[in-house]
Amino acid sequence: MSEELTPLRDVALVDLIDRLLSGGVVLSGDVTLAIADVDLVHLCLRLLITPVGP
Amino acid sequence: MPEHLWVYGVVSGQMPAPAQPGIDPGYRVQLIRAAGLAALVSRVGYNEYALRAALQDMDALETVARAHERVLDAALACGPVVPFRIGAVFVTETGVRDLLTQAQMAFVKTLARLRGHAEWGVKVYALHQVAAPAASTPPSSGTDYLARRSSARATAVRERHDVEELLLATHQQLTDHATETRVSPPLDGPLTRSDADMVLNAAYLVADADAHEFGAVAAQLARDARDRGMALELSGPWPAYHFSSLEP
Repeated sequence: MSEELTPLRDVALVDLIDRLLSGGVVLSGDVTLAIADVDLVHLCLRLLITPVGP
Repeated sequence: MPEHLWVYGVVSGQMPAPAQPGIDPGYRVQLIRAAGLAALVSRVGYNEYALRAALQDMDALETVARAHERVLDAALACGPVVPFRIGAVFVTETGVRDLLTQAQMAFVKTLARLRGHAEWGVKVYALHQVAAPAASTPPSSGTDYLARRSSARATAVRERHDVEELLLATHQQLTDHATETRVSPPLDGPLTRSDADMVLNAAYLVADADAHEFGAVAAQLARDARDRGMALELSGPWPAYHFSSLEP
C-alpha cells in the first residue's frame, strides 16, 4: 500500500455536501432569488449531515 | 417552462468563458460580466417546484452537487473563484449583474485573498472499538471488582486524553502550513462513516506553493492517527467554500 495519503477527491460525498451546505457564498433574501424558501431545502438536506450535539 | 439562471460562483472578469455543461445538461456554462467581474452561470429548465424536489432526492442532489463542483473545479484551475452555495438561482441576467455591481468590493477583495490558494479538508475519525471480550474469570472479590472498574476508567480517561492530544497536534501542524483555517463541528448522519465517529472537521486555506508540504504533513499525521485507532482523511484541492463569506 502506498504511504502517500491519497486525497479522497471523487468519493467523499460527505465532504462535498458539507461544503455545498455549510460553505460558499449565501445570498440574502433581498436579491432576486427564484427560490424564496431555499433555506427550507437546506434545512431538509441538513438532516443528511448533522453537527454532533454537545 | 420558465428558465432560471443557476449561479456557481464569481471569478475575475478576465476569465475566459468555460466550455462545459451545467447542472442541467441541456445548457452550457456561460459568463455574465459586470463591474470587472464575471458570474459563472447556466440556465436551468426546472421550475422552482421541480428544482426543490430535485434537491431533496438523494441521487438527484448528488448529481447536482457534483455538477456544481465540476464547474467550480474547472474555474479554479484557471484562477481564483468565489464559490456559491447550492441554490443561488436568479430570474434574470440583470439580477446577476446587479449582484456583481452591488457587491463588487467584497468580491474583488475575496478574489485577491484567494488567488494562488485552494481549500483542503481534513476530517479525523475515531474508529469504533471492537468490544473487548468479557473478563474470562468473574471478579474474585469486591476489591477485585472495584480494581477492575477503576482500571477500566483510567484506560478510558487516558484514551480520551490521547485523542485530544492528537487532535490538537494535528490542527496545530496543519495550521502552520496554512494561510487560514476553519474548524467546523464534527458531523453525523447517513453520509458519514458508520464505523467511526468524526472528531475533527477542519478546512485549511493553503497556498498552492505549500500544497505539497501540507500533503506530506497530513500523511505523517494520518500515520500517527492510525497508530492510535483513528483515521485522518484529506480531501482537496477544493474551491474555497469555507473562506468565501461576503460578510466584512
